Amino acid sequence: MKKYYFIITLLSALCFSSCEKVIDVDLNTADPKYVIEGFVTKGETIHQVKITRTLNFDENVAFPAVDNAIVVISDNAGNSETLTLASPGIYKTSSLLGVEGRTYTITVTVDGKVFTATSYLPIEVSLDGLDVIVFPFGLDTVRAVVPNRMDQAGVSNFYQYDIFQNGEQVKGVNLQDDQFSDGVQNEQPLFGGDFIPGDTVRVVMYCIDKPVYKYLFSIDANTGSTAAPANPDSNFGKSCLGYFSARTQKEQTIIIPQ
Amino acid sequence: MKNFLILIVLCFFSIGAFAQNKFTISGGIKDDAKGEEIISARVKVKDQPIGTNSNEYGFFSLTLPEGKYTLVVSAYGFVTQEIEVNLIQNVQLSVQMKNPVQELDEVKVTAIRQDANVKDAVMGVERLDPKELSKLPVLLGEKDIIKTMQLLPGVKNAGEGSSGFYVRGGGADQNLILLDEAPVYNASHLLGFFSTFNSDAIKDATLYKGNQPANFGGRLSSVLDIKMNEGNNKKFNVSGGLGLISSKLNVEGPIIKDKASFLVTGRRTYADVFLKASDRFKDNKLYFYDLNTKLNYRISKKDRIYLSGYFGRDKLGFGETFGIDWGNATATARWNRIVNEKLFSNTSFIFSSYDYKISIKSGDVDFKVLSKIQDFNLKQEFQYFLNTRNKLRFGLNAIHHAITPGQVEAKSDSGFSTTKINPLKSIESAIYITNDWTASEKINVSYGARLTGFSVLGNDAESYTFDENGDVANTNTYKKNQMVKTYLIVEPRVSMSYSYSKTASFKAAYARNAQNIHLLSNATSASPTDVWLSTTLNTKPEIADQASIGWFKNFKENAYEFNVETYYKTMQNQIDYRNGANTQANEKLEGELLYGVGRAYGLEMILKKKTGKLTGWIGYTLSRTERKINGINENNWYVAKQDRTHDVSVVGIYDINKKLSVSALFVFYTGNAVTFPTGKYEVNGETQFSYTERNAARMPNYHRLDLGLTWIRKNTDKFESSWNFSVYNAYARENAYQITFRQSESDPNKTEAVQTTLFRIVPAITWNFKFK
Repeated sequence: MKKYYFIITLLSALCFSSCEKVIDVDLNTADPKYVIEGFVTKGETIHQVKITRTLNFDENVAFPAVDNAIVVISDNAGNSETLTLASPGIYKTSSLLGVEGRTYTITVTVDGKVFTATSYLPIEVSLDGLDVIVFPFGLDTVRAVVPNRMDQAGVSNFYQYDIFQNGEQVKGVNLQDDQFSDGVQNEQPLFGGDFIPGDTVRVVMYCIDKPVYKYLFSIDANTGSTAAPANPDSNFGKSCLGYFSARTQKEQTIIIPQ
Repeated sequence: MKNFLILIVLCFFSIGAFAQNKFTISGGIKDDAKGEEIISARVKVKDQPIGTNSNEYGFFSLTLPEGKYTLVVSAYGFVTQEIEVNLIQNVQLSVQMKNPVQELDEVKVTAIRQDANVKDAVMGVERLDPKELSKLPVLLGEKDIIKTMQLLPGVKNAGEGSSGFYVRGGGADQNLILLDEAPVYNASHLLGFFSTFNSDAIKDATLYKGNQPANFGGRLSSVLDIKMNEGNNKKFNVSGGLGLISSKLNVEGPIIKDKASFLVTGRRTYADVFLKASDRFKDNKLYFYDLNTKLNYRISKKDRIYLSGYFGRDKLGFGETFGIDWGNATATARWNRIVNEKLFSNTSFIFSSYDYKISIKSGDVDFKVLSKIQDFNLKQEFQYFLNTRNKLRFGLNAIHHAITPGQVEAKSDSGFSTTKINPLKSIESAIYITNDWTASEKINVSYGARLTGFSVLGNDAESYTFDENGDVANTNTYKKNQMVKTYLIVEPRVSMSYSYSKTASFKAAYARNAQNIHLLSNATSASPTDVWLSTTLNTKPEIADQASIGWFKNFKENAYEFNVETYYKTMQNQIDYRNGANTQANEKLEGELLYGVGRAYGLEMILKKKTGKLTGWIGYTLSRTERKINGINENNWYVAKQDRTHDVSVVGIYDINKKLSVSALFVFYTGNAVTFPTGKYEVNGETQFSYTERNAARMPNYHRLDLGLTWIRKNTDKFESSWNFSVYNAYARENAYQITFRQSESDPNKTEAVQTTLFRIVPAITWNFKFK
């Protein structure tokens, strides 16, 4: 949708007289909700869960931390661990190992409410390296990074990326799937970031499960011009916000060439 | 069900003819100057309440007892004629209607029957004459029949400058748009700013707001029936216009005088010419074109053949990197036959297609997404002019649909695998019968029924059924063209008028409509890549029932017309997307859908002034439209995005003299229903918005004034030249096209709302010419 919006903007810039301005909108408020963001990563024993609360639209961004929760993560092989509070709103494990092919369950008990979610830790696809492609876009030259990975044939794979430009994380959600590229070497670039030669680009790739992919996809869609934005369907259900993701993690770094 | 059919049959055949020595006057009514047939001309017996109208091909038939009669023939914009007939045998007439040439004639012109709104049984119908509308101001001077239609009560535009429309709370895809009988799937250009209808090629447009007679079917909300000009069969002429964004040329003339004629009308925009002028955009493409063509040939006194075609395309592209193009193509071959003086037959074979292509090319990546909908359509209709009180129409219709929802083509080494999704195939068939019955001098009834059958065909591909979470429940493969399932729907239609005085009537109507071709859209504005889907095992036919009543009154010898109508409509099997649905080239697309019900109700009023120096109308609509979809808004009712409580339009045209006229247009409406955030939270290190109820907020109210001026500079026998000036949004109201929310640029701890306005003042100038 962003593309069309861009075209409309282009059109109006050309022939019409469009404008943007900041306005006051009287928004309804809602009761605060819990926001849980939890991860289990392959090969790691320290996993992090962050619990906060929502704010009203007009409040300053300082999301209140929730420190009184009991958080338990278990897997389908009989392992389980209760997390400890490491810093405000941040809970951590110390010994539970993330193993691919296992399903993990998180249970959060706070103020008499219980929230649970499960996530499958997918079989890892390796990130072998990064390529840079350069192509003209109008008068601009666009540089984009292509993650080198060989998709696993016969299964649906879902990939999430964090991109860091000179150490700073590029905003936005970067996702890929293999709907049109099952079992082939990836050629699709990541469109986050506006790189110039000499930039150091670090890409972290996560293999995630389908519900998490759909959740992140919805988060991304809400930033466009959908007719009816809504809270994404979370693996926690509707009782709280946020998500729980079991995933693999690999990273590669490249310096953008001239 | 069975009893119902028997009842219908009895209704139709119990009305026998008993009188002896009756004869029929039949014939055609034509425009004397151009030779084109006139639709809905009135043929009336002088001083008697007996008469009929010409049909859509200018044919009429009137059966009367032996005797001497004076027929009065009238049509909008033509001089009324009187014809003496001595009826001692069947009579055939060819009536040539003249355009008014002198002031004197204009008096007669206004004396035509303008009380159709009161007398006709059918309600919720609006007829637009493109000639009438040419003086109204429009965005960028681009005359557009759909945008004028949006100014009528019950019809709402799909956003600022948009040619998409909603009728009585229905969806944008619930309008059947017919161009010479061929359905047009995407009636818009340039992302909706212009409609595909070049008004220079249009002869007549009629909009039925849900209570259409049984000869129409296939969409829930409305039928917009557009007829193209046929081409002047008397003399050759060229006309055209140069506008701010497009130019048009129209060529028409006889091939064989009085027997065969042709028409070619083309239009192309030239925004891309400006693009080329700037370095930054010179490799970009942005244009559309339309081509309307028509041929007609009168083979004999009784047979006539028409061929008409439309072809239009939009192209958008950024260099080689990204391109999208889309368009419609329709073709209609039609054979009219006057079987005898009472029976008229029309056989049509219609092709209609819509497709879009997206291509992306950068480096090694080279792939295309293709999507297409293609129909082959056969129609046979008979019109039987039984007697002065009954006019029957019956026929059948069979359409073969093939829908390719999105298919990826990629080069082998491009990192994409080609996915081939077999087209969804289906057959939509219908039989119908309808009768216009003049029950008495005061009561007119139009009643009938349509039986729709929709057969889902196999396509050699896997077909899925889904559980309530949208996951595949069952997989089956049906052989090509195997009948998988047939849905049968009976659609009764009835409307009646009771004229309790010469200038006033009450009307009531009920109709059921079914729809089997659905458009899935999840963006605020219509997009050419919205997906069409036919009814399947998962997606059931949409059904709407609409009941309406109204009061119709004319004042001052039909110079003023006042209509009030109210309606209540329920809708079944309405469709919406799940959150975060994957809409492109997804063979399990139906797993992303949710189903529910809808309801809409409202009150529509219009006061029209139809004659004199000042003409125009004031329209007002009070309405509500709601949906209840399982899985959305906690399964509670919510207002649909097109819900607008109040909608006002004021339209005026003032003819200062024969050469100069001014016009003005004002609209006001309640802002659309939207979902705004009710809170915010942090995920992935970024601020996200949280939402509670769907569509619980409102965009700001919308209002706008447009002004226009038409100046006929020169008008001789050989040449006509005129200028049209217009100003869109004359007082520069900053209407909200979209409101988005973001982190404040000045204070990152704050969040702010940003309003986008598309058009402030937009002036335009157009020059029109005509060689006669």
